[in-house]
Amino acid sequence: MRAQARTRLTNELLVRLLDSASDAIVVLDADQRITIFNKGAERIFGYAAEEVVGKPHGVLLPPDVADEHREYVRAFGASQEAARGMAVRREVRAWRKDGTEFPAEASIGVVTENGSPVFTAILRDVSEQRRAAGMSGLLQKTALAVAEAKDTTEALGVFLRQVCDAVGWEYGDTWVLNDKGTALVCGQAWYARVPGLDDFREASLRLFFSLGAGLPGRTWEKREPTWFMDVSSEPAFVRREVAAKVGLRTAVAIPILAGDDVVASAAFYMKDPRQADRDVVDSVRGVVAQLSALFQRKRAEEELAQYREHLEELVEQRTAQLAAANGELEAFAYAVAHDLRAPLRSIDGFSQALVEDLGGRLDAQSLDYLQRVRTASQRMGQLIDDLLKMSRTTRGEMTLGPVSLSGLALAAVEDLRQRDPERWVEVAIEDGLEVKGDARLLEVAVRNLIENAWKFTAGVDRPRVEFGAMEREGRRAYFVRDNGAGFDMAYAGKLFQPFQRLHAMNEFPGSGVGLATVRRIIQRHGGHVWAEGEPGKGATVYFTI
Amino acid sequence: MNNDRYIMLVEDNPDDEALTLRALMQSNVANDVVVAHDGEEALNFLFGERDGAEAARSPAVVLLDLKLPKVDGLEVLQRIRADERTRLIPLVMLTSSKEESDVIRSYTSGANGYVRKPVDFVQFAEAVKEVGLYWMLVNEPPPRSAELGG
Repeated sequence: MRAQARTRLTNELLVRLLDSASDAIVVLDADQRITIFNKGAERIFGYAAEEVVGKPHGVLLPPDVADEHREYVRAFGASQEAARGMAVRREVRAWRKDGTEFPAEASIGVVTENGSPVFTAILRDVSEQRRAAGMSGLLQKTALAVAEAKDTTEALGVFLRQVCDAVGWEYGDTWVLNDKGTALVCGQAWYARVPGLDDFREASLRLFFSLGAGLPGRTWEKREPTWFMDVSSEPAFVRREVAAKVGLRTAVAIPILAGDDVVASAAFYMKDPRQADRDVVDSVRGVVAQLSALFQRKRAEEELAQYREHLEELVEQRTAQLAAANGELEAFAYAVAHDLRAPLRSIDGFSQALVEDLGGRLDAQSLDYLQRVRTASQRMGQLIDDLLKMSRTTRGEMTLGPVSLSGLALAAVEDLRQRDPERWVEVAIEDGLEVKGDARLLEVAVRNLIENAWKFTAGVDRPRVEFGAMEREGRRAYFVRDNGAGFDMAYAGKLFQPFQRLHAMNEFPGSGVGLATVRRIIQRHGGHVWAEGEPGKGATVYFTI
Repeated sequence: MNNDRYIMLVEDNPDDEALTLRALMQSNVANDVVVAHDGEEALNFLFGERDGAEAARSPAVVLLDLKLPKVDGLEVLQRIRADERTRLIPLVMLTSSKEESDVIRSYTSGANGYVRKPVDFVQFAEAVKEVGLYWMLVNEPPPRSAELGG
């Protein structure tokens, strides 16, 4: 059964089998003349079998390698591999009938018939694979080059050269969106030093394209590659005359996007007329994606630079406004210092003059009234002085350095003890509390706080003032605590407002700017200040720096 | 008391003028006070437009307000210090403000003292009295030859 089913290998069947193969199968005799040339070979090489049968196999190779290859086949016939019946595979350069060259993978084997070698070569056109490999190589190389390029100009240069090299285009150029975003203007170009291409470049440099116009403009509008198979007959191609003159036929433009916007177009040109080739376009688009990323990054950098510039402008503006406001404040303070006090001096002075000159002739009530006039003007003088002092703490440069808060507190207590020797106050000051700040301002702040504590403990049995530090919400807070008059927490917000007082004047004198001054000083140091207290049980003022 | 000596007060505010004169009279340090009401008048007096009797002598001290019409106090001070004839005349600023910038500029321009007029007249009179006493009685004036530029 098996014997009957086995197909008899006839010559005719053999030929039909060979012809059914898609590869080229070429059989050579001992002299390396072609004896069999299958249909696959006819298709790949462009010869009819009868044109080459009987001819040396050199007709299928470029002339410069024919002799070398002939020697190779001979040597192979004598090799050990051949003796063992093994085929060798190698890549060869092959030649079509029309004289064009293509890369082929050849598997060469040898059998012996009647003592003579018979060579078989099975060839496959690998130009497609090569081109694909070339593309992926191009993609990788360009991706690297683009990543290493220091700017988009350099990246575009590398891109144009490498794409032209890999795909076989003769000319490549770029069209870049102008600053206003209204037109694509001619950018860099790369082209082989072939006569005529300079003319094309010169003509290009004079052009720009609006949306939809010409090859670059179309790509810009469609946001898709545009392929012109023959630019010399393409009405939309503005440079068709010069292109025809220098022999450029095929052109393709590919958009370069940054985000969703077309920012440039890359165009390539070649002399051969060529059908739109999707593989080529897709490969180049892959590279363009790298470029797009670069453009995107560049754009982001530009935007950032713009924001930065704008910010600087804004800061400058604000600084100028602030300087103007400060200048006005300065002038205001100066006027207050000079002009507001003068009338008070008159009121006080002439009241006193009346008392002195008419003292004996005035009744007690009149004298009391005059005394009230004087007290009021002196109080207003004091208010003006305190106000000026407070405004001074918000003006002027700060000089930062290490400041011993403990030392400042101690000095303030010493002064108070000298001023009020009759008072006895228990004082506890934590040692070694040091911060970075403006010594002059911090002295004013600490002094104000200690003086407040001193003042508001006047009426208690065992007055005690404490200065120390503790952790509050993860930050170091300094505090001045007393067991004096205290205050109602309902008014805590008012404490730090200027001229807000929570006690009657005759109870505790003061102008109400002390804590406001403290708050300004602490704020200038980037810190916070707050207070806790209870009527009759004392108060604690905290601050951070 | 040396009758030859007098105080020059440069003051534009008539109230302050009256109060300062009152304080000076109370203290008995000065029977003779020359008052100029602005900077220009003060300079004219010191630099010549005065009659022969006064031209022969300079004030024992000039009490100079800072804020003055026409030529302000600081400029008066600088012009006095720049001129050979007047550069040694004792001069005390008597003014409303104790703004740090005013104090510094006064001293760097060659003021011998800086007194701030307190609102409280009792204190004010006390301050004027002390200044008058010091410059009229305690201080030894520069020799006349030096005053005239040697």
